[in-house]
Amino acid sequence: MNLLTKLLILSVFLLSAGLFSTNTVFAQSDSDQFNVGVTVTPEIFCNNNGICETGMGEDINNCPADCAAPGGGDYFTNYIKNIHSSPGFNSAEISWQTKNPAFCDFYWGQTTGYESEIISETAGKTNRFVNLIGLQDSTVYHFRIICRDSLNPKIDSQDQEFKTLSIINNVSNFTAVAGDGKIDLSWQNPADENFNGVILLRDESFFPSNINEGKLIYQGFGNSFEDIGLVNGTTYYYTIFTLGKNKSYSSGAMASATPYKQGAPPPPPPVIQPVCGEQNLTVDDFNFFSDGKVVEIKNGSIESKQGSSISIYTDCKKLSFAKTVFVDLGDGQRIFSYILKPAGEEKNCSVSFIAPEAPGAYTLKIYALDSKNKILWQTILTLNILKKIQTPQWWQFISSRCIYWLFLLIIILLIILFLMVKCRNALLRKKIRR
Amino acid sequence: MECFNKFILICLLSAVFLAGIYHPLFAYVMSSGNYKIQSDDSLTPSGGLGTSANYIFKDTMGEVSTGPSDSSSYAMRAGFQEMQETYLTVSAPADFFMTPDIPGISGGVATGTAPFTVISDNEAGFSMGINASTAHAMLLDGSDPTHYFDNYTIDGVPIYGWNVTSAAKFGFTVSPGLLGGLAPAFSDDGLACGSGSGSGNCYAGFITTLVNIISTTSRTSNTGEQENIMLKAESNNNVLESGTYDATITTTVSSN
Repeated sequence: MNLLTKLLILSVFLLSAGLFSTNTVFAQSDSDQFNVGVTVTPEIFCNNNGICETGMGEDINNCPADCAAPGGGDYFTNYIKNIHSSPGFNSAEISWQTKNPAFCDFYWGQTTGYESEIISETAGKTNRFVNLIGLQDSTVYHFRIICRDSLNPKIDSQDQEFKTLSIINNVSNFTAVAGDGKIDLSWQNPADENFNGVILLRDESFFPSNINEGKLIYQGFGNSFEDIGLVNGTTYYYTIFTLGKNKSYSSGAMASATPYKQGAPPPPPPVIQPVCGEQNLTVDDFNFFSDGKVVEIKNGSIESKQGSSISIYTDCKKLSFAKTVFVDLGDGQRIFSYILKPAGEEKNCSVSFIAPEAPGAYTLKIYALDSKNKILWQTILTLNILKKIQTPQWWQFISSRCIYWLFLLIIILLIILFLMVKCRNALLRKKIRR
Repeated sequence: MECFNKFILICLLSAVFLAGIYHPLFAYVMSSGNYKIQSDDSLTPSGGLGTSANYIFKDTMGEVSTGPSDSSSYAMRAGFQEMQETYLTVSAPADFFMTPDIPGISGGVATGTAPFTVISDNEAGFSMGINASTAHAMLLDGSDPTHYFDNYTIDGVPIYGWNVTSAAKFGFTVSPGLLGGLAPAFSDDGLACGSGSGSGNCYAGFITTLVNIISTTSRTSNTGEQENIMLKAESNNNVLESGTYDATITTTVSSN
């Protein structure tokens, strides 16, 4: 049987197998789903401090010592009760009740000296509410309430405290560099302990002002992103938000660029718009902080140190005429833009960013835009970045751990020296007498 | 002769090729609102579908227990139509809560096991994938995008061991049934994921696209194969809004 015959038989066999085949497997799939849950329970801490702190979950059932029913318990527990503090990023609301109409003085500050303010009431009330503003973020504040009525000259809440929430800094050096059908975006993440990644949003009409606007194009912990597949000649607006571990996010840093075809001249820079209209807003309406400390404006300049956290606050009501308020930080060549807006549900609008690493003079421009992105108000300050004096690590160690013992050792040595000199003199006197 | 041989050879190769590619399409030949008929044998000599302007004729040939039966009320003409498919089904467990509850401030770990039952008579086995319905799988009330557990890994790729620091995370690992077939990514050698015979140590976060977790090479028993998804949620040094967090998890199986 030659090869041709063999092939003929084989092909006939395979053809028959193919035609009569009945066990073909059909592609199939099936799916099913279920829900899995987990219950997160509110945490109850009964601190037995004589105050019924309902904000912490204390009630008469889980904390009878602090939340005794009226008529029982000690006098203080029943007199000043339901002290509740709700701290924000730079404000706090404190409320409390008294059993009878009383006059109360509210003392508060960063220490138990309550150095900030004493708020005194002029009318006897039972329900009270105090709103503290202009606070520093991530800071512990103390307060104390002392009330009096016709029968009781002094009912003292003793020291209470709360801690304001942490504001997370924006990214630094956020830039958008246009290419052919693409834009390269780069930034530097803040070194905040609270940092939990970034969200990068894009819009073709204007800068997204919160995480619900625009299109999410990147989320993560990286320092750059290449946005590809873009239309040449279209301007793309980007806002990048840093996320905090407490689910908060920064005010936002912005950049925009217009991709262009390779070889063609890059699009001209945007035209600087004139300021139109007059607003009842001055630079004094803004508070500046560097690493949590107040910075005064001197001759149109403010100072900070390289790498410090710079925060700017103002009352949101004063910005109600504007749709958006931006803060531009310029070094003469580049401009980095940030959004100034309410932090969470705060009444204060704020922005936080890291000061440039290079010492020198920078331009800090705050400007407010209307819904058509026309500038309604602006102010320009000089931001002087000073060199941060770096203490050597070895000295930090010595100063933190050994300074106390070193001081003690010197004292002991001085005492020994004093005694030795005294003994020597006594011996000399004895010798002379002999 | 040389030329004739080449001609014959080309014809034969063409025949072999046609024989090789001849399979019914993976579709259906007729359907109603309730049923789809996957194939008929009209191309084989053993039976099939025939139609004319007045009649539709469907025949079979060669089976036992076929033929006419009559009673006073009914007349039956029995025959067989072949079924060219494999049986494949997956059953998810009932909804459940992981235990114990997690305190919102001091944190804790909750775990749970989701047993999926897969039945397949496909001799080549099946593949199983899993996905979540939302980007963050575990959301407060199942829908609040502002309060959630982070996914244990963001890309669905498992890492060895479970370690959560200053965060709230939700993830899973896989414990396969008797047939094995654990995806290499979820296998471990006691130190790392990606290879080895270990299971239950490589944890991943859920993502919205299918992550392959199991691929078997043989059919299941009649009662099916139980594939266990071990779920874990932990909050560590992280304040969580109190309430019920929910995730909708979907598994999809397909014939190999």
